[in-house]
This record gives sequence, structure tokens and C-alpha cells, in this order.
Amino acid sequence: MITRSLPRIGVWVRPAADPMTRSLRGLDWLNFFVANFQTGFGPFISVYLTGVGWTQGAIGAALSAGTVAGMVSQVPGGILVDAVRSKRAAAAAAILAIMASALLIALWPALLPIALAEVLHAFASSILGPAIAALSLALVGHGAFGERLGRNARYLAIGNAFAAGLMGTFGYYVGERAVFLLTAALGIPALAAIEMIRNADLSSSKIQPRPAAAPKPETTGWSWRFLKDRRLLAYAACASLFQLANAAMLPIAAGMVTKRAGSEASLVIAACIVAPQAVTAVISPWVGRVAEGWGRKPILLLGFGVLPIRGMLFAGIADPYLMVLIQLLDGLSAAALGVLTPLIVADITRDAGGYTTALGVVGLAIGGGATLSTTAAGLIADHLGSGAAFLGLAAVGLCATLLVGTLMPETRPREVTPRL
Amino acid sequence: MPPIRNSLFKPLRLSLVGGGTIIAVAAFLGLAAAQAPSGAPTNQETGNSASLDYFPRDHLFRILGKEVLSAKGEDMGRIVDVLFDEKGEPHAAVIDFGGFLGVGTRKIAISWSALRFDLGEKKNVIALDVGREQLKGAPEYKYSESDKPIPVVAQPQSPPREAVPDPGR
Repeated sequence: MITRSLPRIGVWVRPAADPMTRSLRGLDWLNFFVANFQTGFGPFISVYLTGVGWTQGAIGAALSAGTVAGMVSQVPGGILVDAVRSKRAAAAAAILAIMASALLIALWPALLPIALAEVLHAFASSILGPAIAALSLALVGHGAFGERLGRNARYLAIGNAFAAGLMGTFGYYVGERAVFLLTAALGIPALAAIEMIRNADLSSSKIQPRPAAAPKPETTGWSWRFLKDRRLLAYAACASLFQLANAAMLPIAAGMVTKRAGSEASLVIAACIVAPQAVTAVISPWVGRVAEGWGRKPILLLGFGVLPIRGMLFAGIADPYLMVLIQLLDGLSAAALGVLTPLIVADITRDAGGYTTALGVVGLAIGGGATLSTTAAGLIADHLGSGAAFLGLAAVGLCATLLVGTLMPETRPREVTPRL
Repeated sequence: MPPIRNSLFKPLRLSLVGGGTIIAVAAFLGLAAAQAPSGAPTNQETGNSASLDYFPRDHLFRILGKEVLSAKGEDMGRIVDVLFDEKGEPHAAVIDFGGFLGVGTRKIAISWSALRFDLGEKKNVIALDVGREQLKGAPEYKYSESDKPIPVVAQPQSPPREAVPDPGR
């Protein structure tokens, strides 16, 4: 036994020879395992709560508590990550909180504990996302941030696809409660991944050009200065409109697949969820490189521009299998937005500081758009049919794209790659 | 066994109200509350108003969240609501049908008579005479639509209904 496990240990020790590589690999794994936290807490919670005998009204109330908390916590979460010295500790605390909420959901499915778990998960998520972005920036600096974010998005997408498959299998063969125990258990490797990231590799000098901006009394001063930056407000508006058009598309499309595909509908919907993740995993590193080369705006226009196309295709095409192909476009949008949101916000706050606070502001705008999307599109789908809902979403997506074209300036710093 | 069926719903209702569903938003709970005299759960306290009946554990079961299978054993979803008629009889079960990890589920109301409870050894499942292929195109049940008629999938009684070729596949 011991001799067999020795080579395995060797594999884990070898990266330590190059500490920076080890830290970067830790960040890869962190993104991979964190993806499980998103998948487990999504619509699946209502499947689980239905299974333990909850009424639909109670489920809606508990999930609403989570949604509201998710919105309310975005900006405070960002402020907290900005204020905390150790982003690793912030990320680890958030992971522990999410593990606790998963355990709470699995072991105590009554209204108060579930609502509490939803709120806890929402607050922890609002810390975890910005903390990982801040860790990435501190690890590689502004110069290589685009490429790093591409890698983050790749591992997040692989993790998402992996989690969907694993949880689907677990839910089917073991039971829905086991999914939440699994989610909690997957927090352990996530913590181990944070442990791989060395403090010595995190350089605050890479982030803040002016270290003098650190003293406490000024904290509130600098962290809000970005609000006067029109570029941030423009991006928040664009991203909000994007989610307003995007968030409801998959649920409505999946509902149509259920309506049309019959016995293999669940597999087709699984493909609709996993296939775009594969696209994101493949193209994200390219998106990161191109965002540094061509600039942010062309990629932004590409990611936004496929959204109205996707909406119109969904409105016109009824075949469930073709719908999976249309969903592939979602992978393109997800890669563009996943890489560019933290990148553009980093561009904007590079001088003024307050990076994760600004991320929280954009997160709030995105959350608002997403919440409104499912409600509004659901209403349209009920009264005018899902075709009308898709066309409405496509129209909003077109507006978002036009807004990017007119309102959003290029945010890539000029000094990094001087114009030839 | 009619005697059991008659007495089935009184304790069932109590178990549902006491079963942790605190917010009574669903139509079912609203109906249950309307039927039950206010202060119904005073049986144990006073002792003079109603007698207590005890049932073996495997005779009664909760209905919300109960899995429904088709005759072929396909997973048809879970019961999320029960619709009663004005006589207080269960008329339809609303099941959450299809989807993956909760994405893409549709709520469909199915006639109570299409559900089969007498499954012999399999006590924990309810069977449905309708398969996934036949149920997929059924109109969705919406709780909020108050004035529109509620579509309920009926039991396929005549063979021609089942023999209709499926356009989808």
C-alpha cells in the first residue's frame, strides 16, 4: 500500500519545484471545484425540496429569499473583499460557508434552515467570485490578466459540465439529498486548491500602482470613486441588459424540449446545459488572448451579438436536437462575458482602486437583469407563447449589443500594447 | 377497500399541514384550510369532540413529492399539488414533469383516476397509465390563471387514443 502511494505523492510534490506554477495550478483547480457550488444550488434545489414534500409556494419563498440575498450581498461582498487583506482567507471562508449551507440543506429541510442556507450561500457567493478574481489579478498582474481569466473561465466551464454530469448521476441513482452532501464534500478539494496558492506569489504591487492608497480612513473614499466613471456604469447597463435577454432563454428552451422530445427530453436538456460549457472551455483561453490583442470591444460585440441570433433561432426552430446546436452559441457568449466582465472592471479600476467593489456593482446589475428576465419572459411565454418570448429576448439582446456598440469605449490600457 | 379510502384524507390533510409546510400559498393548502374547521387540530387537547383513529404506517403516505412512474417504469416526475373539486374529492394531481436538474420541468395536471395506487409490493410509488411520449405535449398547468379552464390530462380509456401515431418521434 505504502509503496504504491509513493509515486502519487511524487506527482503532487513535483509542481512545488516551481512555486508560481503550483499557485497557478491551484487557481485552476479552485475554479474547477467552485463550479460545483453554482450547479448544486440552482434550480435543482426545487427538485430536492419537492421530493421532501414542500409545497410550491414554500419553495418559491425560500428561493426568493436566496435571490434577494444574492442581489443585496453583491456590493457588500465586493467591499469586503476589497477591505480584507488576505483574499485567500476570504475565499476559504466563503467556501466553508457554502459547505455549511449545503449540509444545512441536506440535513435539515425545513423552511427556516433552507431559507438561512440560501441566504448564507448567496452572501458567500458574493464574496467567493470577487475573491477569486482578486486572487487571479494578484497572481498574474494586469499585464497577463486577460489570459489568466481565459484560463479561469475554461476551468470553471469544465467544472460546470463535470458537476452537471456528476450531480445528474448522483441525483438519479443515489437520491437528491446525496447531491448536497456531494456539494459539501467537493468544498474540501476547493480548500486544498486555495492551499496550493502561495501567499508569496500574491503581489499587491501588481494590482495597485499607488501603494499609498491603502490607509484605512481613505478606504471608503477610493472604493467609491469609480462610480463617477461612466465606463463602469455603461458596462453595468450593458451586462444587465445582456442578462435580461439571456437568463430566461435556457429555461424556456428546456421547457420546449420537455414538451417536444418525450422520453429522451432529459438527455437533450442535459446536452443543452453541458454542450455550451464545452464550447466555453475550448474558446475561453483564445478569448483571453484576443482581448489583449484586438482589445475588449470586438470580443464584447461578438459575445453580445450572438444573443439576438440565438433568440431568433430559438423562436423559429422547433426541433429539440437543433436546439442543442443553437445552445452552442451560449458557450460563445458565456466565454466572452466570463472573461471580459472581470477584465473590463479591472481596466476601469486600475488607477482608482476598489476592484472587487466595482465587480460587486456590476454583479448587482447582472443579478437584477437575470431576475427580471425569467419573470418577464415567463409572463410573455404564458400569454403570447414561447416564440414571442424568444423574440422579445432577442430584441433586448439586440438593444444590449447596440448599447455596447455606442456607449462602451475600449477599456484596454494604451500603454500595454502601443498602437502601431 | 372503501372504508380506508374514506378515512384516508382526514389524517392525510393533517399530516400535510403539520409536515413542515409553513407558508400556505399553494392551492391545496388553501383548500384544506377552507375545508377543515378552524381549530381542527384540537382533538388531543379537548378529547370530547372527535375520536382518534390509528393507522398502520404503511397504510397512509404523504402525497406531495411522491414519485410517479409510468406503466413502463419511466420516471414521470413528482406530485407537487392536488386539485380538489367542490365536493372535496381529489380530482387531479399536478406533477412536475421532465427536465434535468430542475431545468425545463413542466407542471401538468393529471386526472386522479389515471393514477394507480394499488401496486402490491411497491408501496412508495404511484403509477400512471400515461407514458412520457403521450404526456409531453400536454398543456402546462398554471396556478395563477384563475379564469381560464384548467387542462387536465384524462386517463386514456379508448384504445384509439393510445394508438394515435406520435408526430414527434
